[in-house]
Amino acid sequence: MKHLKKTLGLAMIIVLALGLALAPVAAQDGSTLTVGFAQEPDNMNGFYSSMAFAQWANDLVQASLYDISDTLENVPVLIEEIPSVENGGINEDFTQYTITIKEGLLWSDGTPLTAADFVFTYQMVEDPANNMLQGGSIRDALESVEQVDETTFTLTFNAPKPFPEDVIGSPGLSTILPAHIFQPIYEAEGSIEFAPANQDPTVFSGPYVLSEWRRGESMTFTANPNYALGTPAIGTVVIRFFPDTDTQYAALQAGQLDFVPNVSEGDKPRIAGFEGVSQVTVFGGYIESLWLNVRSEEFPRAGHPALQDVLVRQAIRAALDRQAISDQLLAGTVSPTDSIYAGSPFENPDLGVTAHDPAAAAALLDEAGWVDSNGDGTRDKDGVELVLRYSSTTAGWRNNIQAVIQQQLAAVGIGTILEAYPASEFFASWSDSGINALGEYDIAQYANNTALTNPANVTVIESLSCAQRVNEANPGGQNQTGFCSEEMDAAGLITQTSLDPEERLAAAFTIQEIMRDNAPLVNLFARGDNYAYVTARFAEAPVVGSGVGNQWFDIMNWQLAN
Amino acid sequence: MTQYIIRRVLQSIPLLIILSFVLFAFTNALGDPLAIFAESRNRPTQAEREMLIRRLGLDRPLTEQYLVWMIGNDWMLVDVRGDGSVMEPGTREGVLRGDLGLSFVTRQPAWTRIEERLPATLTLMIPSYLITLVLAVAIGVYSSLRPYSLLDNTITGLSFFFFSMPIFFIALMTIYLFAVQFPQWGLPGLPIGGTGDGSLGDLILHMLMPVFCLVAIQLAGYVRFIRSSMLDVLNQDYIRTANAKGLSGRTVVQRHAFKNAALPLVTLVGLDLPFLLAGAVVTERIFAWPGMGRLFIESFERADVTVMMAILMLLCVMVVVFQLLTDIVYTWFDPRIRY
Repeated sequence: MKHLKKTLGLAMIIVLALGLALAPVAAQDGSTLTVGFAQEPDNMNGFYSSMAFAQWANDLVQASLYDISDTLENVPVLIEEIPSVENGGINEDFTQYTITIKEGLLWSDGTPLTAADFVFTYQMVEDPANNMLQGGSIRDALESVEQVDETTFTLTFNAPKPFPEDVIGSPGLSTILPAHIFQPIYEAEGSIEFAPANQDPTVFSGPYVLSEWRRGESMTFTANPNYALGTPAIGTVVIRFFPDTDTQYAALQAGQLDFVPNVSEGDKPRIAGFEGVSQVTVFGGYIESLWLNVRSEEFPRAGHPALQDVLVRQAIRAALDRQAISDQLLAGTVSPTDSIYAGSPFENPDLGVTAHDPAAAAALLDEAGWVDSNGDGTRDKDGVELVLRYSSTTAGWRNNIQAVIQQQLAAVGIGTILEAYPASEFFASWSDSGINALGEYDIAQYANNTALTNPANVTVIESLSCAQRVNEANPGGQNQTGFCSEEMDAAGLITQTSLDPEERLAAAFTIQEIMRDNAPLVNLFARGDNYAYVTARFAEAPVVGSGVGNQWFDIMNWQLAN
Repeated sequence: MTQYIIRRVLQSIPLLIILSFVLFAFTNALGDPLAIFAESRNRPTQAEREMLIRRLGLDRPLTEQYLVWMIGNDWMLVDVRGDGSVMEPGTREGVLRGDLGLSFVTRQPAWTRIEERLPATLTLMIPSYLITLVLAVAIGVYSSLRPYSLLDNTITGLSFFFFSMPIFFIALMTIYLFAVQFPQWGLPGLPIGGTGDGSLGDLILHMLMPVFCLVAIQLAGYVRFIRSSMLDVLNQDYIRTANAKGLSGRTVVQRHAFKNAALPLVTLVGLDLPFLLAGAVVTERIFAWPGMGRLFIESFERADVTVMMAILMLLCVMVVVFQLLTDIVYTWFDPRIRY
């Protein structure tokens, strides 16, 4: 036993000594930026992923023709001048673009980056054999692509394309495929879907090259000397994966991470308490909303009958104290809105915001005939209690909001049953019995996209259009609320197709008014893209791109403190 | 013995087939692999999603999907593009021919994903399990020789203290103390997350916290098990005989008591060993350890059925193999056992 004790004691001392002797005080050096990602990219070919983290990693190694800045301005990268009707780059009816890239561009391996690479990329997007997840807007619209010379190519569309960013800017074309890498694979296999370079790319056009990818752990990027805008001042960027946000924030607090994107709204108050850590928020393009099930058909499930009455829907909005939610749960960092374009350049400034007014909410409910006739504290009508199923994902901050809204609605006599589901179940498709798709809710809380660089709003066009309503003929439809307004559909079409910016803006304003008045969904607040960083590690506060484009658009100007 | 092994292997085949179908049905019911697109900024259109569903074969009945998973689809025509325009023989060979399928998420073979993560899991799990076993044997035997002594009571109390705490709590407290607070107190802090820069020293540093947590929560169970088993054996007549023969205390404990007390331990270890391959789901997630447990959770979150099935079937096979090995090891510990 004595021997055993000695051995154990010795082992403990060795472990402790190792720990103390080898433990680093700080993880970073002066030329390495350490970034924490909550998820590992699933693909390094931007056309094969819809994952934000994959896009962000790709943006470090991919150059675009032009980026979008934090203030939604165009930032040329591989192009000298962004094509327009005025400079002759776009024809009068917006069906043909002529694009001229800079001369002397190189891939990271020294191969010339020419118009041929762009032509090849567009051809790959067009070919259905490649089974790409992204590029749909290009695929549907592109009629032909032709190379004019080494630096010039033309795109011809089957209909007017008034928004260049959707087809040539970073939001629409964030990846350019190196033809000298992918073309031989395409010719041999007939598809680039399973090309090794999708997972392990070796040639890059962006400010960095991916020099090492340790699966499940980290990605290391080093400066690309051939980048079109020069060599970035930060020599190395290491992205480390932290699936647990508590651990990620501990690493940030301990100074083992410099920069963390994708901070959720609910985590902002906590991070604000970290000494030496700052936060920056940019336009994100999402609006957190309550989607109301206004379906009357029993297929697949009708919403609560009260929700078909616009007065009840307006009463729900008036009953909510959205400012209190912001102040108490989100450190006051967001503002209530009634605009489906909140935060975008197309938000109607005259729309106004419904004030928290329980008395007005009660009056609306009375007017709609929902009163507490049996004295149980919940309103009812014709024997039906006003109790709503209120569902969301299992995200903690959403569940906190659910609990507060439950109390606020109870104050005006509306009962709620709170439900939370994993995202894979909540957002699952019709065939997979998704909660949303089957209408198994009266109120569903999640984020919708707003308009980004142009007023064509995907939520209006896809999630709220009459044609996308779920019914027996269209069980997989994307309009799961059941709301339908032909006037709004018409305005939505104008925002997509009109060549007159004024007309498009007017249509966007009309949409916002229809949504405000009909309230098929109650907007809570616009969600920004939030980033946290260790203040002392940066020479100046980093400028981060908006959620629309490339978050690293300004990385050439990022500098670490000495 | 050879006949016994062959019989056991043959018996396991129908068991694995039944298990595979049950697991396939469960994993397919977990959610929709395309649900991740719902809040995506660049989400595919409805038509694109439907094409993808058809191309992945997710629109087919569960039994057909299972059949394809099992025997492949190179004998049938499949909708290659998801739009009905091209019907060609499939390319999957099926699990029975060693093709575990492609990950829905990365489009890599499921086995490639496992190969990427298995070494990290074993690097974490084997040392933590060995440390647990060594400490458990030492402490369990010591406690059984001095039951209800101060040290026995202290060790028992401490073991249960850690045993009763959830792993995520121990893990987060460990990080908070050793990585966040230590530097603020002027002490060197431990690194958080991952396996380090590739050097052995850095790897050991990164392992300190997760290994400590894994040992802390596992130790109590083993200590109590060994202590109890040893106490049973120490009261047997043959131990009294051995003592009466004048054998030294160490010889009695090592050669007579522990060897007999270890038989139930072998069963326990045999059951636990296959699960080392599965990693530690919570620990790997919290410590950002790139192992199998994390891969399983990530696959679960994205309903990546192919990868989940590959991991689960690997575990099933390992359970069968280790149970067989356990039975063989029994014969060494107890020569009376014959097959």
